[in-house]
Amino acid sequence: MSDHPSFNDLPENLLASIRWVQDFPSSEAVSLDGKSPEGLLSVSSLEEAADFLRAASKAKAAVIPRGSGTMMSLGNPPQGADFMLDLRGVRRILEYNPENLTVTAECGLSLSELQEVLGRRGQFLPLDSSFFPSATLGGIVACNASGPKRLIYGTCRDMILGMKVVLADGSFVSAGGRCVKNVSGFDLCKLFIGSLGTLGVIGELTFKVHPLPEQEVLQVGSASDPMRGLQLSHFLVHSHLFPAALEILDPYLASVWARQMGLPLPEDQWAILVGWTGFSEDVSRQIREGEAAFLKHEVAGREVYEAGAAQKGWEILGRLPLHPDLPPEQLIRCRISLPLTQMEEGIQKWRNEFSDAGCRSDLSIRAGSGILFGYLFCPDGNGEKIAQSLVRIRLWVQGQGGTLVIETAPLWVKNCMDVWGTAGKELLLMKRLKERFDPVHVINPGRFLGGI
Amino acid sequence: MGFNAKTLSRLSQIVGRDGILSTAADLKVYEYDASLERGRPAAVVFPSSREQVVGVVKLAHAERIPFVARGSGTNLSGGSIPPEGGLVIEFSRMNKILEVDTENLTATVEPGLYNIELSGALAPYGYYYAPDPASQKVSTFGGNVGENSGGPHCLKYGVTTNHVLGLEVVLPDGEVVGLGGKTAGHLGYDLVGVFVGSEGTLGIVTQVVVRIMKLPETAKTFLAIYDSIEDAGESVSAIIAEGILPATLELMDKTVIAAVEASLKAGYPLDAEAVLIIELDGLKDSMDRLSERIMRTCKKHGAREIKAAQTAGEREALWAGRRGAFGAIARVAPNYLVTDGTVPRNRLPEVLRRVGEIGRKYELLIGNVLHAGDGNLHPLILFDERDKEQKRKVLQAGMEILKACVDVGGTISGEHGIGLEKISAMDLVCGMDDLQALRYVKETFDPSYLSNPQKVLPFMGEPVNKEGSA
Repeated sequence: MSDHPSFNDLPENLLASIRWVQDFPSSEAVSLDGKSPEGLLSVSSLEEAADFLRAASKAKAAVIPRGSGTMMSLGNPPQGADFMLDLRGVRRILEYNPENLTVTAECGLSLSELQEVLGRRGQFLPLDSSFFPSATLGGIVACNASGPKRLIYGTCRDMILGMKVVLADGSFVSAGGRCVKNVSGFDLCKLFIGSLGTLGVIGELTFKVHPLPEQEVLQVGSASDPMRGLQLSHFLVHSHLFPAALEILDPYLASVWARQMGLPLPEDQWAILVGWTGFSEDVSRQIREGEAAFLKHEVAGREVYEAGAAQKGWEILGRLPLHPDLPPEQLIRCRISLPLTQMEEGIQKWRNEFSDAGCRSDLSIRAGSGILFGYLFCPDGNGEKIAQSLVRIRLWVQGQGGTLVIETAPLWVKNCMDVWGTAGKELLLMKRLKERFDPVHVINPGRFLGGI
Repeated sequence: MGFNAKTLSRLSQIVGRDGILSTAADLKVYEYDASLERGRPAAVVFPSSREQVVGVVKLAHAERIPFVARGSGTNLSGGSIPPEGGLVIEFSRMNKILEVDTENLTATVEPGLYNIELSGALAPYGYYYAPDPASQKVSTFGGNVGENSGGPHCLKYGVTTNHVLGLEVVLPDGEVVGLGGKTAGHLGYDLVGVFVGSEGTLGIVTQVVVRIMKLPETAKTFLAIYDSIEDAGESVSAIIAEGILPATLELMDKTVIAAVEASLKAGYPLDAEAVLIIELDGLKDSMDRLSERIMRTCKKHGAREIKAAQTAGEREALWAGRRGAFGAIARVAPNYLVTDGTVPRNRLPEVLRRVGEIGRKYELLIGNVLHAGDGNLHPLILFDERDKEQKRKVLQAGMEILKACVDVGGTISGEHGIGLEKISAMDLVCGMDDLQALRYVKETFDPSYLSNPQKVLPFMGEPVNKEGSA
């Protein structure tokens, strides 16, 4: 039983449903960055979550909220992890108003389940299909996750109209509403998006949804070096056309992607994936002009996948960094945001830094949005050198006004640097916010920027 | 109450002798904005650089003088009124475009720049800035950021917050912080997101980095004419539900049409009960088919006639009428109260009916201009403020309209802000815990409550002065 006396104040049913770690079968061992929680609680309503958080606040216990756990690697090692709060049972759709193109759902619902419901009315939530199908709405929003099609649809902050959040003291805060425009009070939703839950557990979400596009295609090309892809991307972004996605994969990732798509791609070629979506006449024209742009920029091949095949292409892309043939616990995944004009230099920096680091290093490029994903597989031994390289690249990236976030890494990396980056004076404001919203540091203590 | 000579002299040292107004005659002009609220500052300063803003704010902080940043005062909620006197910091001298960076699809501007001037400067390169409040000829970027302004084209492209990437902010203690920037990533909490729409209560913006967009290849503008305002509302709901996303979907009723035609001759039919201005933009390829669908949908829901603008001049006239609507209404009555309630789009027809009933109940003339596609109503309640009894009824009717919006799942402000005017309506949409959370944010940035006092947040007792462990 717990040594936190305040948990005796918990309602009987909640206390009874905590699974204490000593009773876990070893096969179910749960840990986060080396810390094992004392107990695990699955709740089925926000009220239960609130009761639990209130008790945890009193007991000064650390609580790690979780959905399906697909992004648990994000964040610094927690300062404490007494309990894990599993929210997958909080999963109702509270209101779906297809005529207003809005939907309100609870945090534990998976994105794929929501898409299924919306799809029956010819609508969808334009968060990318390349997430793991089990990823929950709350998790996606807490991590501000986005995919290739953010280029045309935007990110969580462009789609969320309202929220209900459970603060650490068990109180509920509603922000925004169910209308597409709302300036009644500060826009608190923005604070919680990407907060990793450190200001409160994101409980309910109201999204603006879209009609399903008439047509969706994926146009594939290849080139011997990534600059061709960047030039093509520049051309399309500044043309009259509206590319939905512009992705560039290095030769290794390109070969893995192509193999799974059953596409014969020449060896040692970078792949360039262009997405088009919208009304059929517009898509047809954009495929045509896309082909012309491929020719002009010496990008070979013009395979076009439609509908389900295009969907499959994006899903495979989303799983790529997993490297089926390499152990996941050795993966370091960096997300580097840069001004579009600095992408070329960013690619060169990454490649120079890791060309002889003695480990596998890969790149995929979200060319239209200014994001580089760098992957490293570090078996052992050369950790210090890798860490120094990461610090050097981050310094350069931040000098360009960008950010380098280490989204996944073994504990030894997390122990030698803040995975988020180095913040300026604004960190003081952020710490003050945390102090007010969660004064006891109950939720995810230490996992956010600057030890928040 | 005026400042003492020492404070005035220190202010002059910061902004220069020609950068300050403090005589009663000069201050009179700064007593009001586009709302019905009034309040006289002790002085108005006109900084011409960030350093001057910092100097003024540091002085204000040290002497506990409340201050209000002001652009052109076009806000419709009393946001730029100084209810406690103190300083008005006016931004007309910080009105430069600092950088146009088409390669990175951004522009950096000073807060005093007029909204329309940026799109004007971008047009030769083939780009524009999307949010287009009807006041865009004079409303400023600082004001747009403060109010999170919308506009007709926000239906398709989103409001100000969807286009602001970075801010340079002078905090209420005079510290300068840079928030966000030109890239897709930002570190930590989205402070840009919470600052946009904070109505100047969290600090003062001295630079804004915005996202710019390519001009659309083509645009097509329609005027749909109705014999009943409910039919026009039904058409809006039907277009949204059909999954066509026009760039704009604006509605005007008979009262507004008459005022606009009398002053601007936009070409709206005087015998109509309502018109919709619908604009499609994007690639030319799908334009004909989508136009057909729009026309069919409007006809099906009672449009008497639907006309497409044939020339750029016709299109411009339709828009000039819409943008000039608030101004034109001055022909009908000396004053108006505009409310800004917003509702789910499918509830528009019933809320429009309800607005009509409220007008009849209080015997007030109400004109309607709506960003209908967003479900954002702007009923203009017309009156003469010299008639005290009528003004009292206007305020009651306004509150009743807001309640009607909240009753169908809507909210009290879509784009004009809370300001002073809607403070008393905040409890329609916020419970105590919600207000407490807003207060956490306010006190994080402005624990002394000096920056634009009495706006957004109703008074909740003395601040909890908790500076945190940091």
